Amino acid sequence: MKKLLLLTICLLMLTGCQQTKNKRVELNQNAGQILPISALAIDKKDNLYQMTIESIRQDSLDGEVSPAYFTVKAENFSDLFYNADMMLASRLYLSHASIIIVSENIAKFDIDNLVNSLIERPDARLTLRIAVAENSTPDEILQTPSVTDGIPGMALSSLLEKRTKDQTFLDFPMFRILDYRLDGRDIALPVLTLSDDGHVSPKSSIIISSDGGVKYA
Amino acid sequence: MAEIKFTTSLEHNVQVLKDIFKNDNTFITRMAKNKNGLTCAVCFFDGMVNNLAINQSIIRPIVSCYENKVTAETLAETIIQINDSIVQPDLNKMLSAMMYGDTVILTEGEDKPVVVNTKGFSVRSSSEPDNERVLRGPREGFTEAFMINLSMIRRRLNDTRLKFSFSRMATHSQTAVCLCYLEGVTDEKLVKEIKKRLDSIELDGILDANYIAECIRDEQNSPFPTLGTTERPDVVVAKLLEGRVAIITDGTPVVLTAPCILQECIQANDDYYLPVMQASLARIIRSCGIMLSIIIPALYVALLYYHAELLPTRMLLALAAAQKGVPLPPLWEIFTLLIVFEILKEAGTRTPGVIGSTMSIVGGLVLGQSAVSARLISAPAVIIVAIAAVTGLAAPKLQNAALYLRFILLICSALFGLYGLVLGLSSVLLHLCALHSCSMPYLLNLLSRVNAHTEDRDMRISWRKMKNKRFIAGRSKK
Amino acid sequence: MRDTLFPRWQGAFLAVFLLADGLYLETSPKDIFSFLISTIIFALITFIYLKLLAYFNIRDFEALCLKVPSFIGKPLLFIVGLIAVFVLILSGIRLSKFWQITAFPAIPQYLSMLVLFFVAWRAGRRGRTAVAMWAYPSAYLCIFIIVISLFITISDSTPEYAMNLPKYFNFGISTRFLYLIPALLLCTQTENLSTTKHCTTGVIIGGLGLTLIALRAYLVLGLACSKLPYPCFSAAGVFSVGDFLQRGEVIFACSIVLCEAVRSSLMLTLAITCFRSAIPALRKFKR
Repeated sequence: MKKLLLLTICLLMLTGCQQTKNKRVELNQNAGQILPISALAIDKKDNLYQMTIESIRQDSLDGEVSPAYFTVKAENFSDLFYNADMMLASRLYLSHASIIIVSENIAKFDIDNLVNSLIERPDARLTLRIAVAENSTPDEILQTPSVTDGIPGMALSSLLEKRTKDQTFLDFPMFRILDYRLDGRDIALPVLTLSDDGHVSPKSSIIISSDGGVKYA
Repeated sequence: MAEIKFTTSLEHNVQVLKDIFKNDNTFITRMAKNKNGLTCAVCFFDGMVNNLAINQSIIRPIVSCYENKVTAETLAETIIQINDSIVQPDLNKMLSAMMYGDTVILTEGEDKPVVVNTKGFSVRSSSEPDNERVLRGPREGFTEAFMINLSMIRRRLNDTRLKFSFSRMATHSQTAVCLCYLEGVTDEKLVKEIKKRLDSIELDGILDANYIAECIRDEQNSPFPTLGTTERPDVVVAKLLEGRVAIITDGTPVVLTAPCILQECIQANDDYYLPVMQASLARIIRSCGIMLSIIIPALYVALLYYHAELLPTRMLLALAAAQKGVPLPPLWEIFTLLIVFEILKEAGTRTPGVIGSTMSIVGGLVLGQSAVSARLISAPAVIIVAIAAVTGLAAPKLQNAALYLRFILLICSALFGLYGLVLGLSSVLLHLCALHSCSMPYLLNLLSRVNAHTEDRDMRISWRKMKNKRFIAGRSKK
Repeated sequence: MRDTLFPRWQGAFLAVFLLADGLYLETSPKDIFSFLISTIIFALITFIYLKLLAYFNIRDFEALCLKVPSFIGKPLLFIVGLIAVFVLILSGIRLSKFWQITAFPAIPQYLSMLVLFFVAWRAGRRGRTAVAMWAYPSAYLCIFIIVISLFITISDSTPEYAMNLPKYFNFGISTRFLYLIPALLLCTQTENLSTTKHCTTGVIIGGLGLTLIALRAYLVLGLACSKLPYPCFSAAGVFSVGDFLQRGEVIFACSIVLCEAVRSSLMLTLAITCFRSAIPALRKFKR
């Protein structure tokens, strides 16, 4: 009897996938079937959100790690992630994403929606940092090659990490943004811009108050 | 055993024995007569006896004596010139003694035989047991010869309180089994309990200690050993000093010790022969080894299937890259590799030394390497299974448990990730909590800090300090 | 030793029983204070209950019920049995829901509940000695993980929240602690092995553990707690050791899940003990 029960449980778990609430979730997906994302860039154009996703891939154990970019559009953030998920043969995996670059408009008016849709996803980490692009679009910033790392997204995230540690920027990971916004306090996001030689450089912080007002510090 | 009866007629008695062993050509009856008409029959089995002793200490005194009629007692006490010679009225005991290399002497006018110890069969000389090698320390190992084994224990323990209690077991093989303990140190209840269990054995033959072990051990279904086994006399003596009993079986170098608790499984005899710092470190490393061996495959599967977020990005990418083009998913890969490893191990155990090492090179190195390059399996899976296999060798007494637990935990973590692994491990702990060996909790000294002997547990204290703190099974701490 | 319930083991199972709540705690400052006050109150209750048992020379709750007239004792045992089953089911529901939201969205809730009940059954049928023995190392492991987890997230906390905490002080009692009462009924008290000290310590450790877990979540996440389904769980994951062990909340959760398994086993043991004492017909079934 006990064996039968165990067998049933095993069989139930080892099979297939299940459709839950419009989110595609598959069982027993191993590391080979997920697509790790290192960074995202979100912009708004013609009333549509546009998200450029930097995924990372490595084809063989001793092969090079290289970034790959693709772009999706949707009317809201949840749909953006859903569309991105539907585009891929693998699962969009945000766990390793540590930076999102947004345009100033989104930072001003849509930051709450963005954060809310991110915390709905169990795979997005709470320590994700949001940076604001200045003088160029977020995806330009994201796709600019870095001198330190082959993956621009990862280079940007280490850059922010380092500048936060030396207190150039205030420490505002996603959970703190959420906390401050709910408290009605101002938040400070790092600003990234393209330098004259075509590399990304950190600039100042942008302080966003709860009513959408901004000032640069 | 056959019902036999002797009379005062020598001819009849000899015929009775000849009838019993009628198709057995190793049975020899030598009639010895002296000048005055004394006739004795000397019966023995060829190959089992010391011929020189029979010729010089039995036949020569009989032939050269002057009596014409002697009683069995006189024969045993004055004529036969061998230290161990007795009159044995119990004919069944006589038969089994004869079949074990003793010589039976029958004489005219007596219905009681004389049994003389003339055992002289060849035995293997003592050597260091292969599976219990030490870096430093005694290298003697038990052999298949019963009495020699007992002598090895007696030689190390010159104490009048050392007791050897004999019995014969199994209907056909009538194997000699000896219960050995140190009176006054071993708990009397334990001795009684083991005797009771030994008496309840109903087998037709006992060829190895495991026959007995399976009949008397607690929790037959547990993969953890609840009876200790060793082939080394020094280990047996150490266990006796700790208040345990030893069961020595004839015909096998393996000696059982009871009770056996978990802490013994990570102890090795080296621990006591090497300097204390080195020994304690080795013991900790051994415990880590066995834990790693059990957990590593399950952890790999759990991380890869459910908790990829815990892995560094580049490591995840490398693992994912290794998976590309490989036919089996990681779980089945690990499963298959673990099974293949067990098959290789099993094959290696049964093959002769020279072929064995060749096979491990071909099986392990060449096959593994080519299978990875041919993308039949992924390199990380090979590494994981190799780590599990090698670390598992650290505690040989727990290898069987490790084999089972590896697979069980693998299934747990495949079903419920790290949560499954933790619940699986805690179920193992629960099993250990409920396990007993001869009424002694298996986790003794490990769980409760009250009354626990911690001196020789995870770390060993030096012998100088150990003096009065030694762990004695069945006795609580002073 | 076979049937002895050592005091430390009992202290451990009380601590583990409380810590099992660690994933689902409310994290407002008011709740944090209520946890702290409940800890003190329930430590006192434990102390008084065990002292009374010792005073009247009663071994445990079961013995107490057998001493009073059976028309009171038996229904009481039966009711306690039902409460134990209720707490067990509650544990099953909340854990399966947690798993569904955070880790295994596709595994049906009833299946993960079954897994918990299976572990609880494996342990619970062996009786409280085995469960208590099992709780002891589990408690050490869990407390070790929780302490490490608390320690490494200190740097991510917001100090000003800590400064403002005293403002929210109030005298509330957390209903979570009420469930401790059935666990308390499993404690034994004898002259040889007095359990008062260890059980009270167990409750204090468990209660303080809960308070600290909730406090950590509040100090780290602040108001964001209200937006997250399991703030205490999420707060454990904000640290990182280099690039490795990022999002280690699952390790923290594992230790709490282990507590939950012990808690369920304890409740199953209580239910079995109570029903067997209350309904004599059940005694013929082997454990």
